[in-house]
Amino acid sequence: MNKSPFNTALAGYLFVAPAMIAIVVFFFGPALAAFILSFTDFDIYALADINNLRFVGLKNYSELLANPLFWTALKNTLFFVFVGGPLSMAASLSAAILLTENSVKLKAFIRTIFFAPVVTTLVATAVVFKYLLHTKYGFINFGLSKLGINPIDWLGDPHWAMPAIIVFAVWKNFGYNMVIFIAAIGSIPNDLYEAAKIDGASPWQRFLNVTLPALGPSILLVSIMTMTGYFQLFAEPYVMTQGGPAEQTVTVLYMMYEQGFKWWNLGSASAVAFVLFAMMLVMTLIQGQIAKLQGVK
Amino acid sequence: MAGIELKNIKKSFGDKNQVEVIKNIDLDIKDGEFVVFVGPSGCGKSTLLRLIAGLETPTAGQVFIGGKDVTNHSPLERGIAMVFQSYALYPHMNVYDNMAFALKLASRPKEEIDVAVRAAAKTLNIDHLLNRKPKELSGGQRQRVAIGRAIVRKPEVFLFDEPLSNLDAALRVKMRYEFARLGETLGKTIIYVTHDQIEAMTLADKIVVLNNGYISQYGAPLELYKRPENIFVAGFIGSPKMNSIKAKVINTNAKEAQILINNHSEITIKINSDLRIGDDVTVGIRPEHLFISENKGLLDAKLQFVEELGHAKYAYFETADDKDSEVKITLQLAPEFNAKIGKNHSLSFDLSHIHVFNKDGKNVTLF
Repeated sequence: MNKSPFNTALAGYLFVAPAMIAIVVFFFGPALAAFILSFTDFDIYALADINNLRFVGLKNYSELLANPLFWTALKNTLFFVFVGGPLSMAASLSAAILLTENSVKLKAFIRTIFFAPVVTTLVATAVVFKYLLHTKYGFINFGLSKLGINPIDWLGDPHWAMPAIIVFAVWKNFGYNMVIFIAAIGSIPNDLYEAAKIDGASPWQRFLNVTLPALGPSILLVSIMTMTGYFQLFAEPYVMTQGGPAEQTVTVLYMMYEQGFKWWNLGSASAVAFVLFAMMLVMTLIQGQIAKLQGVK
Repeated sequence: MAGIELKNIKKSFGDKNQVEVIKNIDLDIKDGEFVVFVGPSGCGKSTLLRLIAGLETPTAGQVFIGGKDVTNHSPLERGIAMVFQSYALYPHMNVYDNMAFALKLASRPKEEIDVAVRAAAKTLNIDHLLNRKPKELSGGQRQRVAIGRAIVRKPEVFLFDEPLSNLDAALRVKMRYEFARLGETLGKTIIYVTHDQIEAMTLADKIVVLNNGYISQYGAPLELYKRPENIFVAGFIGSPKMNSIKAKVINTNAKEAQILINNHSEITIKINSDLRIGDDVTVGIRPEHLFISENKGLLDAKLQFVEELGHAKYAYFETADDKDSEVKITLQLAPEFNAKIGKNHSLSFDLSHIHVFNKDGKNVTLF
């Protein structure tokens, strides 16, 4: 049988072809189309007759940057990313540490409880949270009233809407990263903890000097995944607040949705998507660089 | 002064303490002694070391270090340092920081830490590696860093848990020598765990042979080799191991016993314990105390295999005992002896080096 390099390579290409075709058709193709769309005025008229499509250059981008709603959405998104992201990671790490402690009982049960929100439908849980956060009948305000605190209009007060969404998002997501951290903590050799104990390290010093450095690569992975996920905040405000009150929960992705599927300005919506993509790319590169400086691989 | 005393130490694992690993151990280690714990896998030697280190709490009994009851003290309060089998170097810290870590935690002045780390690094010839991370070091270098980390703390007791088992054979021999030298230089109490009896024999002032959670024997290396108290120690110490041949007591008085080996030969030995006529016993003889006899010897056996080690030559024989079970016998040959494989030989042994073990495995020979 002829086994020339060409034939070997051909076999390889044929094996990867199904996956590559799917990726090109369902990811790179649409992404490229969206990128091209972002330089056009593609809208509902163009949907009806493609001859209405015009190339507008960077107009969509310049209009976007001049739109005050974009800056509000960006501010809200960044608030969500930089407050919710670290909060979510801290919750994941704390839960993982708790569940890897020898003294903790019923670990499997607690782990299941903590992970359950991740696999529960977002819309269903968001509706439940809406009721929990209800000003008059919500359980949270009921609890606060027992402590003598006046009811808070969680989803109606511009100051509280985004924090309420952050709490919901953290509760919904922390279980996923918790599982990653549990696996990473489990792979830290016990000898290191014992060596640190003999060196005189307290539990907190052991966490700082053994656990945390060993978790470096996992923290990088989780921070990038969390950040990229949190930049794409949409469903929570869509279900719970519809961007309100006073546009305080409008996010960049929410704005893209409204531009694209409410107003049918698909060209503008594509521009929003690529601005968001550029921001996420830059943030990921920065995180990678920080990790590199700290020696994480 | 930091001798170590263990009193009635027991350690069990499991939810209901159902797995008893250490079964009532008493041990007295004098200050400055180099003591090696040796035994087969699962005998409890590492657990015993961890009990002394404070990494495990005994189920019963007390641990004394330097005369002080430290049973409930943390590892730090015991004044010990430990070197792990895996070295357990902190991977994100360089060699200097690894060695300095304990002193930093103890909030010692920077200058003092620097002097201690550099002095230890110089002693161990790793002063050129101080800026390297553990992953950039060879196995031997990591080993030295782990020892250095122990030395800088100036502990009263050093604990080594199988420190050479991750090294290749050549490096192990080199490090063994260095450990012996280190033991002399430090002059501190050292407990060293190994399953390698050569390490035990060459390094120890005293050896603790552990078996199944008990101390089988505690004594100087040559004492264990020459006067094993039981058949386990006799078989464990020495390589190739001591030959064991089933035998029967055919006559006895308070001081002597006549023993029939292989339904073949009779020998008389002095005994220190009662034996009765008809008792099954085991006769133990080391390979170097057996020889091929020109005349009729004590045993007839067929040569199966010869092992040439250069400095020594071992012949492996097969014979049958009085119950027709197969018995393998190892004999150290003179280097110039040309043995023929498959041929029957008559074997004799030096009666002054013979050991007789009663049916409980206890050595009843009067030395």
